Amino acid sequence: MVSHTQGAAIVGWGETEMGKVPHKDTLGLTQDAAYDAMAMAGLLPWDVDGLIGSTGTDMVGASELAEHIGLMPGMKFGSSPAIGGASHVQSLAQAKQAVTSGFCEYVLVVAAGRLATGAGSDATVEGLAGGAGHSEFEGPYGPLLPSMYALTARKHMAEYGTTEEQLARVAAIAYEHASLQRDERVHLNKQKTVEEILDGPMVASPLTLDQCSVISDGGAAVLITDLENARQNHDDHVEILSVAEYNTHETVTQMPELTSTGAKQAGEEALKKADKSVNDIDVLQIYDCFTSVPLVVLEDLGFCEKGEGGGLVESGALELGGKWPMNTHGGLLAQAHPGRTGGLMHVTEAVRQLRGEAEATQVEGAENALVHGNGGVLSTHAVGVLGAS
Amino acid sequence: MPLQSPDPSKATEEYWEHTKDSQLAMPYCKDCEEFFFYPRERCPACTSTDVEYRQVSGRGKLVTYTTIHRAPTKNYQEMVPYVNVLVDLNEGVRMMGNIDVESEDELTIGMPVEVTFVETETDYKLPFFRVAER
Repeated sequence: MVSHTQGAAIVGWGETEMGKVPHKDTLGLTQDAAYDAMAMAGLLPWDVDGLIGSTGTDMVGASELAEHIGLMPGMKFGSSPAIGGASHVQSLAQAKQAVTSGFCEYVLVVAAGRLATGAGSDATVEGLAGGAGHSEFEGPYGPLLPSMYALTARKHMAEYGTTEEQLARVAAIAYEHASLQRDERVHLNKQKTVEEILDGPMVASPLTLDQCSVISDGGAAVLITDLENARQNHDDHVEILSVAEYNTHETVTQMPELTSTGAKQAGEEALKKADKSVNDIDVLQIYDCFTSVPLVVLEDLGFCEKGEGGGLVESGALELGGKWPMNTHGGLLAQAHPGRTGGLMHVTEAVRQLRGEAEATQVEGAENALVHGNGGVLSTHAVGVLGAS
Repeated sequence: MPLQSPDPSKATEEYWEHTKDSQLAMPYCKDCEEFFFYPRERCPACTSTDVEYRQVSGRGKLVTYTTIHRAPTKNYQEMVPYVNVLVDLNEGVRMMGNIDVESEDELTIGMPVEVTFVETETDYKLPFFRVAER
């Protein structure tokens, strides 16, 4: 009988080029990300017996993808993301369960998307709008994903005095961190000031264009095994200390409170299970499809009091050299948002940080990272705490 | 260009039928003695099948708003910018709508609003809002 510890660890990560990658299709990007993660762990597709990913085909998305990337025959666990941008952090929990319960030995979590050169940005805006709200009770009013988030941002401004400048500062921090990355790793690598961000075209007030995620191509992957195997066979593994999830609604009309999110419950549970407090966290990876998201989520996670997210953003704590550097890769606002991959680079960036591989934006001595995913319209939240080996 | 019509399901047809006569009616659970929205065939709180439609006042308070400058569909591209809102009806349910104002500067969160109806490409009408007359 195989004995397994209760722990699990990430033993490899991969990222493709990000931004505009016209010479690859989605499956090609998926293969690149998957094989980079496997190569780092010294594995071939044959060695990997679990997959969380999808080709996008209903019902058989995971098995179709598993075959394409060489995990067949012999896959013992296959599953697909289902809670939007919170899926990839949730996948860490599923993968941990699969490897600690003996379902399988290695789980690959992989995703890729091609929104920039595939669908194109106009089609993406229309497609995402159509798919996001309730088809009968929201869709007919012509909302966009940005407008539905804007409704929550406006409410936060009215309730707590959050300013447009504070929201824009979230984007300025993301652009700053992205500007320090290698060209091929980011969609946008130039700094932007708060004034430039506010002067850009308005999409849905109060959110200007630069406060919405970029629309990109790219893929990413992480590889998970049980902690005992990781300790014996994989140097520089990153332990999955805890994951928790809390979901409150799907459509914005059903959101219980427009200014607080399920990140509160998910964060409390994840920190408790990891036996950590916010002061133990060295680096933050917070889902940032729009600028208002990190601002409210950081409040809910307990990095400041409710309503003081704007002040936290202004304090410098979230920048390099601050107490909690956030989205050190540039996040969805500046690094890349390749559709279904969204949120997975928050995981790969946390892993890079904890392995000391984060290059120009390395947080010195980073031992614990908190990674957060959000799906829908602040609807689904998954929070993970990761620790260096 | 008229607005795109909603495409009702079995659970929502009655709601949309009322809009043909410019009436706003909401599903009401006779066991919970509460309205719920959006419509489902059964009450999502207590699972009751004892659900009926009751006409509501169409009056409520503005919860939040945003002005949309980049529209997702052709109909709305002709209308930009337009102001999208969430409203809490006096009967205790929240719904999305658009509001008939020149600019969002006319709006204050919490102000009273009331329903109006806008034509679509079918006989169904779409509930919109306007600032309530005092």
